[in-house]
Amino acid sequence: MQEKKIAFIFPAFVSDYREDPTEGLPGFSDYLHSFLQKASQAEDPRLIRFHYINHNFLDQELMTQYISYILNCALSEYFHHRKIIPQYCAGYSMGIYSALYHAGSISFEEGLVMIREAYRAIEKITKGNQYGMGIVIGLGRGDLEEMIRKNFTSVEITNQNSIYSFVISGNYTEIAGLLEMVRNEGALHTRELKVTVPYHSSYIAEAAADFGKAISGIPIRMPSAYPWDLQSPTSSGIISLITQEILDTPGALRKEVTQNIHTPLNWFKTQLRLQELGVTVFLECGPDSGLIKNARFIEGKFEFLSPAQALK
Amino acid sequence: MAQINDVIKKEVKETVYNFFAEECEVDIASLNDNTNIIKDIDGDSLMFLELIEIFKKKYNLDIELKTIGKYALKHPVETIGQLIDMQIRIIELENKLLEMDK
Repeated sequence: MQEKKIAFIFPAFVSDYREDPTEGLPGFSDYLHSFLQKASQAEDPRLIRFHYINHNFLDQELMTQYISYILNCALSEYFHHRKIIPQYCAGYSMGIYSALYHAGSISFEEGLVMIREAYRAIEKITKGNQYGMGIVIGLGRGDLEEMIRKNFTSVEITNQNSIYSFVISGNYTEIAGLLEMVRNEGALHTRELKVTVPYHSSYIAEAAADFGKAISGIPIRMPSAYPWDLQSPTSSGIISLITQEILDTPGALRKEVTQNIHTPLNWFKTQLRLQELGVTVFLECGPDSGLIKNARFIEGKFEFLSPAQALK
Repeated sequence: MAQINDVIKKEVKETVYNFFAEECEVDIASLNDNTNIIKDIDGDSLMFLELIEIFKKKYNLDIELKTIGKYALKHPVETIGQLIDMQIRIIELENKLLEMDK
């Protein structure tokens, strides 16, 4: 597989565990345990108790983000040791912290701090307000934009996953109203996301400034070398989900991390950009397969693999 | 509007069965018209959308996705058999799907 150009895609957070995230990955449970141990020592002792059925923390937003990051990072190291090395990587939404860790720009522990600080900054300004997010599948962007413009003042399109798949953020009541309206107008599927804040929307712009200050002491390094293998650094450019540019300086990365909180993303365009760069294999480096599913509507010769499929 | 004959019906059925066998990684022999797409084989709405796109290209159909969405709201699909019936109806009526449903 290594002759092909690979991109690692790090998902944001898992909303459901359909299966054991270690299944089909021989030896991965040791990696996961090691990262859980580090995270429980550095951030929250409860993390060591993670189990995908019994203690999955799915009802706790911050803990879910930690767990997704831990799983993503453990997979990154697992693949590195098996010499599956990507030319590019991208972090979907909060997956950006995993991408930074993977590229050697931050340490594992610094990523945990970033997640905590982002959550704290966002919670501070959203507390007391009811926000939400949702997914709309089966309408074109023009139709969706028109419905929002005419009927909803607080809803924003905050990500596009494919030609017919969108993420929306805003006031909870309006999100629920829009989801009902689009179903009646022909959307094939809608779903509320299990979050209480409007990620990637202008409503949390203030949080970005606060977050930026909180992480100003974390040194973001040049993306290139793996922290655990400095003798054989490997190039791994991070692609922005905001601009689709390659983020190749610490300054560009810091800006991306801060803007990521309150700026709309475009996963659809990012996939097209990665294809332009010659990527033919997308590896979803995380516990879910949501991004693989979304890739169905992208034209082009490429394959999208789950971690277990990548080993075959 | 297209005339639906046995050849088209057979083609649609084969396409749908092959599609779900591949996408859901299940043995095609384990599928039947009563197979529940979500509960039995872990299918999802994106698969439904992809199938619509396949048939739109294959039969050069003139129909908007939102027309199919509105039809699906009135005629929810749960099983493979229901999905096949809907696809045949879409091929037959295209953009007149809702009009002819009144």
